[in-house]
Amino acid sequence: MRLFLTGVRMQWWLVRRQPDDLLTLCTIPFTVLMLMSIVVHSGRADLLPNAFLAPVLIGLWGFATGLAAEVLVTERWTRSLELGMAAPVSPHPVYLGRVAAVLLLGVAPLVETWGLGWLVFGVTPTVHHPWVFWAAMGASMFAMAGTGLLLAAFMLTNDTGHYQNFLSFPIYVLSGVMVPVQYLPEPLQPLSHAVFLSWSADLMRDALAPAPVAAVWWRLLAIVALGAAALVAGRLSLELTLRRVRRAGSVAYA
Amino acid sequence: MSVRVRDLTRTYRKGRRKNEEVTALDGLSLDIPSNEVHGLLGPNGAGKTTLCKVLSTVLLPTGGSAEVFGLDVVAQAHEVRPLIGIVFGGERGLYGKLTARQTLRYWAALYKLPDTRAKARTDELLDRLGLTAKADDLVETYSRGMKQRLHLARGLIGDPRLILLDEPTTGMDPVAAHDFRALIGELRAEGRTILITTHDMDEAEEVCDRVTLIDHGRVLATESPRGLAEMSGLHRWVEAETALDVSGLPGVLGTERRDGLLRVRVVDDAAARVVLDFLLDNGVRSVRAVPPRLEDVYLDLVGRRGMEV
Repeated sequence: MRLFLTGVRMQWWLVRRQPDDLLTLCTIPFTVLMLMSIVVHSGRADLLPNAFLAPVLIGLWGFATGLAAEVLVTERWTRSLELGMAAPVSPHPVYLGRVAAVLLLGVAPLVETWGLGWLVFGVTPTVHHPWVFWAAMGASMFAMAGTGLLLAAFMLTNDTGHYQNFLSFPIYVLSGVMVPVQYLPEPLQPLSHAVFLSWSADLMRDALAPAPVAAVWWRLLAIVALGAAALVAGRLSLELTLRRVRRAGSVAYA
Repeated sequence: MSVRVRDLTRTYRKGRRKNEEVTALDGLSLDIPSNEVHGLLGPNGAGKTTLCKVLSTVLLPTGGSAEVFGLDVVAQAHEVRPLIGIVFGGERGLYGKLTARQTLRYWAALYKLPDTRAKARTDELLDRLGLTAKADDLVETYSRGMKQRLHLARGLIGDPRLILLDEPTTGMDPVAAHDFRALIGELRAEGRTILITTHDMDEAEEVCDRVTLIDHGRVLATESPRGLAEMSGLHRWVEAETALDVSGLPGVLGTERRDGLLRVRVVDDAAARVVLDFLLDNGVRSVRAVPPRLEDVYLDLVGRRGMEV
């Protein structure tokens, strides 16, 4: 735990002084404006929760595929990865802490979206089931940390940027962040269940609606389980990658 | 024995299809006793950094063995790591957006220092390396010399018994490099073993107890800098502060001028005597015969490869 917290603290030190890392936050308002304009001007108040949640989850995913996924690549470029591998402790918890710290920033798009909705359109959604909403948000951030570590490990050996781009829209669609999964073509819907964000989006949408939320625990469990699977896969992937670069002699780029 | 390397081999696969094999270490054997400052000299691509990487456990050898304090760097990597400190030269491995204090606290955690000990050790190293006044400034604002001191502090955070210095004075100004060499002396006095890779022959001559010349992944020679020069059977040199031309004298192989000093390369001691007599007879008072320097031995053994790697 201490190493995890060391990673969190270290990443916060870095993020505070690298405002460029927060550029994802600058794209959120545009998504908010686009979606809210459509919903407000078409008079579809029933779609407000969708318009509010999409930028929040897109922002969270943006941090995972952007900043979090690049943590290890940057380590490799600066040759700090080499020093980390030579340290007496296993560096995995530290890197997980750094990824998790980035994803704590995932709360910022939520504040940003709510604020813009109120300021520009004069509307904010009512959270009818606050504890469900926050539990879903917490579980999603945990799942995102696991996914972030998996992406970071993957990026370590596939640092081209193409994958990061590829992982945006397909995930937004499959996860039902933009369009609820039930409106997607039927053959695609089973795929969505493998994407934790689809569970997050559904549960958070339900938390904003007045109707009672069904199967809360199972759905939370699904998010956490998918996140845990990604975490284990990320941990294993990182271990195997570090072993491979140690064997291949490709720890550093230079 | 701090380091014991036997028939160490490391090959890499290169090329698009990874079908080209490059040998970085070719059956290299080396012993470094405890509390020695040992220099690794060789041209780019000779295998110096590869050897450091194997010893620091970040690279697996493809053959042979390497032990640090009797522990195998492959099979007992976890036990080896706390005993080693790695120090890079230049910007590599530092976080420009952290302060020196934050950098050391971060690495202290990775070297398993408890919080209170980490704080004390950080303060101690900042003080020792003369960084206390700038401890809370961002590393990116540091001069090259300060960054190098921070590197060394980082390498010392775990109180290592073996320190691997990979070209630590690259790009340093002479004053910073001088201070750095003084620090190496202090570390040696504390009983640590130091393995230093460098291209700077003067540095190696000044700080190293022994040096190993390596090229193409093989050891060419291991000796004290002075012993290596004497053993090499190379030409002698005569140095004098003069503008006289001695190139026509018997036994003179060549001359060069450096900082107002005439350096005459001669075939042997007898030829050196002829040059000395000539210079003294012509009123030159500042004159001396000198054995070959480490740089001469290096150039002779490694060859004048220049930019070639």
